[in-house]
Amino acid sequence: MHALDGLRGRIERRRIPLVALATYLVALLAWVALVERWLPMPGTGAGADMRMVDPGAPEAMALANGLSGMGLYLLMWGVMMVAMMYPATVPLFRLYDGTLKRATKRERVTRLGAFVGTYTVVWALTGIVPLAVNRVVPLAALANENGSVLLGGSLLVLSAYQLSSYKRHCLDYCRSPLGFLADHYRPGVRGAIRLSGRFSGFCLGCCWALMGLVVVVGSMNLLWMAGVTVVVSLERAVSWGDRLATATGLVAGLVGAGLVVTSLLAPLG
Amino acid sequence: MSVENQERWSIKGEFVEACNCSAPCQCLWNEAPDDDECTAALFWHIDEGEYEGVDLSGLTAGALVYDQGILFEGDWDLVVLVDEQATDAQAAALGDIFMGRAGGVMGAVAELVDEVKDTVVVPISYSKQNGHLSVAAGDVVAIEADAIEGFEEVPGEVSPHPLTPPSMTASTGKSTTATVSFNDEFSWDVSGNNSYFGEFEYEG
Repeated sequence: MHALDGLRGRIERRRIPLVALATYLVALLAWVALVERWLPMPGTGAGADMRMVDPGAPEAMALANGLSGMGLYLLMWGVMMVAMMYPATVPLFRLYDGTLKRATKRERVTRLGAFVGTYTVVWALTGIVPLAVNRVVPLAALANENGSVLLGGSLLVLSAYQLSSYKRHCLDYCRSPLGFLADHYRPGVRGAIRLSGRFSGFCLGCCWALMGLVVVVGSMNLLWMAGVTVVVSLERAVSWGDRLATATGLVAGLVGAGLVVTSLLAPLG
Repeated sequence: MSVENQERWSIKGEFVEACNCSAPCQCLWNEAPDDDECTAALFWHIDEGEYEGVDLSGLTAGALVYDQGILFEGDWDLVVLVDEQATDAQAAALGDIFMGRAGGVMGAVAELVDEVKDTVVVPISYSKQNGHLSVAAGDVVAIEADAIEGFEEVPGEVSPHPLTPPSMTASTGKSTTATVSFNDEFSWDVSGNNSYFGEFEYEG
């Protein structure tokens, strides 16, 4: 038995985590763009009398302005998703970057771009859901008529999902993506897109209910966005993340039930 | 374009692992190991493989893992074992692949490694017959393991297992011997515990 010369070295792991830094930087830019309102609003007109932070307001504006309104809405939604999801996904991006150690610079950029791009497009396209829902049931009207039942009901849905086995299953994959990556890893750009697409599915499974809550309280409500971002990030990053998911479910359930019960009893009193 | 076809290496063959958890080990469910500590020896016997023109067929590589907490959350200490039969070029290729320097899945795995404590060359023997596995790496590792059979003498299987391709399953096994003696950190006797084994295919 002897040591293998030249391979005795440590893994070069403490290198500057460029991928992580770049991801955080993009997320930060997305936050600045949202806070400073750099993005063009989905439109004026129908929603002009509403404040953009009101529930259903951005969706109503988008729907009243046809294709361009919806396009701008999806752009805004995409930037929101970058702001909210990128911080939580840094470990996955780094893990994937690890598979590219022997790639040339060009390959690395192409494949990382394909991986991160697919993830971003999938999340941006989820913006179609709040648009479709608002088309059928305008949230703005609903929130005006019976805001606390709407919020309470959404919290109950969130609670049920946070406590379900589906959430646990998806969160497991998101917390430790290596097993999934090892199973589905294929080289090449197409491999990057396929892996990222599959992974985004679990990511959606993990976070859709939280995003739903953001829509209900108002898609442009920065405070709620920030709160949900913290929950999403902690759920994945810290050792007590799974317990945080459960706790979030319990709190959402209690508050939701309270809101629904009090607002149903109110007319009686 | 050409980006798609620039595969630099691919290896396939059989792997076996023997660790301290009761059979079967729960790391596949992202749960913490028995006693919150993972001590594992893993081997990959390459049936067919190539790394930038270097043939790797017939060689075996191994790893000793020490980890605390949930395995796939990382922070592993590692010792890499390379087959003594390997020529210098083959040993360098195996080192590159299994230390994650060659990218691919092992590159991602390397992200979970806190430190490679050592890389050593030892004679490694590997054999598998009728569901019995026998692996020895010099004086460092000895593994004897058998498939666990369920009702009607059907061998148990697990899927997904991160070391096997998604289309395949790994077998559940139990060691009769699973000892490691390398240094203070990497010395254990976990005989009578979990031993997954199956086929692997990696490329990068």
